[in-house]
Amino acid sequence: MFKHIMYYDWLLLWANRTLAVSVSLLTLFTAFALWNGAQHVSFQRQTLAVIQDSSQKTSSALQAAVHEIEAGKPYTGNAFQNPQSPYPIGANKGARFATLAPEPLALIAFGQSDLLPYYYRITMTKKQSLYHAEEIENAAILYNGNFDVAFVIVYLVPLLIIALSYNIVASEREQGTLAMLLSSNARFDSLVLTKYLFRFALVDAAFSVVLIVGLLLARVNLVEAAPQLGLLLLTTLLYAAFWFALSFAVNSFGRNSGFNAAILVGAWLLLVLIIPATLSVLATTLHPTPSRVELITTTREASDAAKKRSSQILSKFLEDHPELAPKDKQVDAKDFAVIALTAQMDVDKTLKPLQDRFESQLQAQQSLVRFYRVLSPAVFVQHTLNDIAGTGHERYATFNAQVVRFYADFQQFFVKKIFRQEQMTSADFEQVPAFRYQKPDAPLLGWSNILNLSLLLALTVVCAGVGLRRTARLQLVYAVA
Amino acid sequence: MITHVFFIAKKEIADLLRDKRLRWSALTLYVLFAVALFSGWQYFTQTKPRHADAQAASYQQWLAQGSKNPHSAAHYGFYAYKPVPLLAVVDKGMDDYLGNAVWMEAHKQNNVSNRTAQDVADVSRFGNITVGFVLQFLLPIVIILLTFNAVSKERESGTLRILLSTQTSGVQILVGKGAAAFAAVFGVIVLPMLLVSAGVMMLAVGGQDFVASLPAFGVWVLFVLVSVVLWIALGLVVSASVRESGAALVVLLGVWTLGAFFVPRLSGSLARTLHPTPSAFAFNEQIIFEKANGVDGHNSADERSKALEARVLKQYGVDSLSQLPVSFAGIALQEGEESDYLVFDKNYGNLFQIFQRQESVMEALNLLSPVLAAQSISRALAGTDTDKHLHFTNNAEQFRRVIMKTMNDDMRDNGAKDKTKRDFGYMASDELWHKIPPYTYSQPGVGFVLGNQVLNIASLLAWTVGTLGLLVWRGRLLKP
Repeated sequence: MFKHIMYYDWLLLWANRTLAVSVSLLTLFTAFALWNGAQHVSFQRQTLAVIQDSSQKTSSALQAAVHEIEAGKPYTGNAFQNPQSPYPIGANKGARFATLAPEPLALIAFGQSDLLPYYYRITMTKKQSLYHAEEIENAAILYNGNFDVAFVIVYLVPLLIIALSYNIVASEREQGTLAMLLSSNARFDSLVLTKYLFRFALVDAAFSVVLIVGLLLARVNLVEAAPQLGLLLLTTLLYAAFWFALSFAVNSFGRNSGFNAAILVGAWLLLVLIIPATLSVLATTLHPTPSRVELITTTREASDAAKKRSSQILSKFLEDHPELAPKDKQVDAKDFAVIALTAQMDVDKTLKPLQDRFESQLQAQQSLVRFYRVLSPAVFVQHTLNDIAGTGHERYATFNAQVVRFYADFQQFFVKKIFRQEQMTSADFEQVPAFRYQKPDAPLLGWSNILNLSLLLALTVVCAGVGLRRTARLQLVYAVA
Repeated sequence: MITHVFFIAKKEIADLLRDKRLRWSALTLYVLFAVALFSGWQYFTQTKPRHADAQAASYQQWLAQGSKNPHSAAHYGFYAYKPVPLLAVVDKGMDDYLGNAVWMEAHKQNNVSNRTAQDVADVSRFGNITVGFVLQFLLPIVIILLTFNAVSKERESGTLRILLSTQTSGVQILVGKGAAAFAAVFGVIVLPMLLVSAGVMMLAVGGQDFVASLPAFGVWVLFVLVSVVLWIALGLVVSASVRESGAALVVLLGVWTLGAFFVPRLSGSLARTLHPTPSAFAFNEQIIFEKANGVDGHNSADERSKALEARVLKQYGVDSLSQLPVSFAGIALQEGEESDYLVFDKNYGNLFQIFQRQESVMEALNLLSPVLAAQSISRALAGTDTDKHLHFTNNAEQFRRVIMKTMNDDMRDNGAKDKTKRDFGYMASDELWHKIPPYTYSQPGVGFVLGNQVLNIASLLAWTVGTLGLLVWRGRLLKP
């Protein structure tokens, strides 16, 4: 019997072109989203390639210049630019870049990748500049959000599902076929369930095929990205199942199709907009991050203070770090580099509590969102998709933490040189620390994503259960009412 | 004729006020309005004093520099903070994604940076609830729910036939229903919300500043009303044209969703692809290159400084720089600044042109939906959009140039008086720092905003006039 239902449902969908239109739209949207994502990712990759190229060139040019001096050619330029002197190298010319390369599936979700910096220029001075780094982008584009695959999945797929299913029960009544169905031998609830399952299977299969073909066309190495792809398909499957189940539950109340459509679109609006926006207000109200404006004022105050008492700071510093004093001579307390560097380290120390508060408050906001996101599958599906793409908050937080540690290492290298009054040798240029992003050990399918997906499954089961129970109770009276 | 419209409207209002849909949707909207207004009020009352205090602190730090070479002071510089406009209470617009502060220092035009969005949880990317959002995005849904079956239910229950068989024309029926819906939506939802918003704004800044913002707020209210009229007309047109109520609802929700969710992302993504924004790295590298080699790439800084030296020596009729009665460093620094202006004007000009081209793409696509044009106009009037941001950016840069010129001119005039402390050895005193006034920024007026929004205003009005035209046309064709 189910074969019959599916066959006739297929004929029906085919005849009224609903399916053809839905699948074509889905293909079109996904294609555009993938193309848009691919553009963005290739722009980031190109930018990183240019940066790597240029910083390599600068570094080898400096090394070559020192090599020449070592070979006996005297340096004639400005003393502040001397490549043998560690201060100008560490403070400006020998800057290193800390970069975060896009992951293989980055093109499916922009996440925070268009907003947060994915490269930093690191010098030994101005740790605070890390907090002011940002990529140039038109605010209107950031505000509008991106047309990426995650948008198609989180926002558009549910709408298509609603369009395909909002009147499955109601239309039977509106066409007058319901009475016949209810009085026949076949169980009406299994008939409706079959229709839902059939449409769900069609939508999910179509979307999965479109997605895989699209990713292949976008030249993503799917073998390498197999775990991510698997999780992507699983998430999409469960999310689509949830929306079909919700639609089933709404339909089972036996109201007319207009009412069903309004309720479903209302639910959609609640999940994709109202809950997330309210969560955002809640998070920023309960855990406000300190303002960057405050950071600016405090930095200036700290720098001014540090400059005024630089000699004091220096002697305190040398007490704490006797190993940094040169072996056979005194640290030159009048040396510009020594003064500037000690002042900077003092500023770093003063700012640390404030900078830590940025991280801790943002972390608190994020935890609050993590906790309450159970209220909206749209939010946690978006989070899971960001994790798959490697563009979520966590990855950027890890990157930033590593950048701050790297800054300390980089500074330390030059502090030793400057305090010991050593010069940069051509061999030293290879010893200057270089940044490498360390991928955390956490598995892709961590407990938080497992929790999300189980929750999605639970919601689906509950909705489908309500749908089944209520459809089974639909009486003939309803059909003719 | 008027009496017919009046009677229909009177009956419809009575119906609507009894209608559960109005009660429940108004209640939901009020809850969201409360969240929106609270968050707008909080944003304004926290950010405004923060920026004002920081601005004052930055100026105090500038004044307290003590004895210093003017060029060191120029390097120290100070910060300009973008003041938060009062109307941000009702429409925060893109403020989270626009920078807040710019460092005005020697040799560099810095970007206005420090976006709030980087410091808030990622869930904010789903969107923000503002009063403007409630009135321009969510209110249309309420209007849709109230109007989608306004005509079709009369048809379905057969009352339309009776109505049309009296002296009443189809146009009168639709106009009467429209007037009733407007009165109900305005009286129950819009007016109270506007009054409360105005009250909160007045409490936030006091009467005088509130009065100063009244013209912008007045125009803002006007556009809110235009969009209410537009959505009511659209709801009635669809209700009169589509046979089944359910189908009418689906069509209307489709139009709404398209504008609220689909087009913005589509237009943003298209705009970026058609007119790509350069990376910050590439942008800065280009500026560094042009500063060293001249805007045309053929005039190196070295050559420029040699030519300047020769010119100055000739002008003062002396043979060496040490014989000059003025500080050559001061002249050279100002000359350097001025040649850098060309570089900044060109590069920032190009960048802002890219932004403007992107905006044009988005504006063109805004024609697809009236919600988007209304949203753009709203945030422009609130002063939370890109145009106002660029206005601030340019204003701050002009101020930076005044600081630099004052410092360099002082060095030129006084940096050679004491022969033992020439140029960078010369120390200026507090008097010079006081020559720079505190930085203030005043927001452009309503005229500036309307001038920038011509296309959006035209698009919103075209939608409104077009829909009203359709309403009359459908009214004439109205059949039972």
